[in-house]
Amino acid sequence: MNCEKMTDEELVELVFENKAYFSCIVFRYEKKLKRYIRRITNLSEEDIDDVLQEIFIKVYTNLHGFDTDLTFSSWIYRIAYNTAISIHRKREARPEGHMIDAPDEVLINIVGETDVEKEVDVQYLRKHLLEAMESISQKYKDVLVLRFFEEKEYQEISDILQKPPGSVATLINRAKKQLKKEFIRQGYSQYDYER
Amino acid sequence: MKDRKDIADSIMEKIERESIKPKPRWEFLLKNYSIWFTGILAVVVGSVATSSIIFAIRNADWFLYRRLSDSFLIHVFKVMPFLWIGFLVLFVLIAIYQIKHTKRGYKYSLAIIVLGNIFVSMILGSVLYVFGFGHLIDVYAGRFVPSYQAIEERREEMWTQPENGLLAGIVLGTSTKDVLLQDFAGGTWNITMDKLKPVDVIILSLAQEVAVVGNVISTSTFEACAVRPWNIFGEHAPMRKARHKEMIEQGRRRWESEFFENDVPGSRNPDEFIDKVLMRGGDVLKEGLRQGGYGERNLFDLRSIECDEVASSSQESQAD
Repeated sequence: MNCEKMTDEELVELVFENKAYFSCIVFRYEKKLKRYIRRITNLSEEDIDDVLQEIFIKVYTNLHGFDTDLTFSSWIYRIAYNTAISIHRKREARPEGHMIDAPDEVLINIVGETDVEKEVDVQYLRKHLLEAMESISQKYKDVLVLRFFEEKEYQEISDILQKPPGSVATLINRAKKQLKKEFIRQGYSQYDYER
Repeated sequence: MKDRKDIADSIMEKIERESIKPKPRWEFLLKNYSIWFTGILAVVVGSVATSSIIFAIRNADWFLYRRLSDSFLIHVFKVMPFLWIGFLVLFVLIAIYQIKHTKRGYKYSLAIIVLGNIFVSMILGSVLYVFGFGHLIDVYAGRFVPSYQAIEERREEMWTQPENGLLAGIVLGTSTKDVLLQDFAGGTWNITMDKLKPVDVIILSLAQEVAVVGNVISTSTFEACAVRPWNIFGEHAPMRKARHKEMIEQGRRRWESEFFENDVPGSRNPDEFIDKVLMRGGDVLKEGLRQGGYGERNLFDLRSIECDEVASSSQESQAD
């Protein structure tokens, strides 16, 4: 089934005619969502697969509820976020993402956004930055993950987290400040920071 | 690649095995419409509560608080429509919850939704108040809600305290020196006009129902110091009509004898007659005030609530 050149919205229409096309949606988003769930929860790989399956089943059953005013990507991320967080809360654990696959450019990008000197050792940065990310509040982590790791625009983050765009901007600003504080507290010295 | 195929395959297998189907479109539409319907209903109910709040506040006779309560705060506590305020808060909260749960609800901040909701309730509530819905709701609440006293009834009771200098009722007849008044409790009073200003005399001579501030002189004589036409602010027009119809039927309507002498009672269309009476009654008073050189502005405000003040001011004017 060749569906690479089709848009998400076209695929959704085709699924109503032939459910086999749903596998194209799964192929397209499985990897992205798996990575996203891993970043916002501390679930095991097995559990992540279960959550992923639950997400896609929800997407399939709610396809008629897809709001075409949103991008399909925002809609599926919204379902993924709500499902993953809900399962995580049921297990009464504080979500702590692994962040293990943060690419170097993502780290540099965050550093740039938090006013920290860019010319630093990436491995050193990775250690402290990821530790800092684990320490900040979940609401701040949620927006930072979407903004810097998933590279979503403010409007998309607003649609995924179902928060007003203005609140998203405020949350990101506060998140960056908290991250900076944590970053320094975690061992990245003021000297390094001001260097 | 194998991993990806595995997950896709297991999902498609599950869909096939458990015969999972997308929920029908109408379910989503129904949910969406029911959220909007409940939200709009909550806004409307909130607006009705607002109209009742405005009605209560407008008819609270604030200028009399010194006569009626020990302090302004106690008076506020007495006249505040807490039931309707509670209703307004409840339905504003319901409306906010519903609006937040619409498809686009999350795009708006809570402050905008709360303020917008209150604004709409105020505007719609004011419109409903102007058309008499506040009065209508209050009357029905008085009839059907246990221990709820309608504002109209409360005001009539409040103004039937001759010992505290407050009296209101229907003017049954006038002479040059006094007026015969039937209060809302059914008692009959001679109202003396010696201390009244000319404008008060005009009102007392021409208005059908009046509120009087003064003092009891003897068992059935009341010395008037200030007068205003009895008025229910935001009155529901059909209810006013019904009230006047009842008055006519009870023979307590002064206009009937004074201005419709040539009408043959048996040939009257009752509704047309009442319309005529109501219009004529208002016109007569307005005309009387115009001829006396007084405007209609502040017609319903009492010019004085203390006899002594009136007495001393009239003495001062005499001395001048």
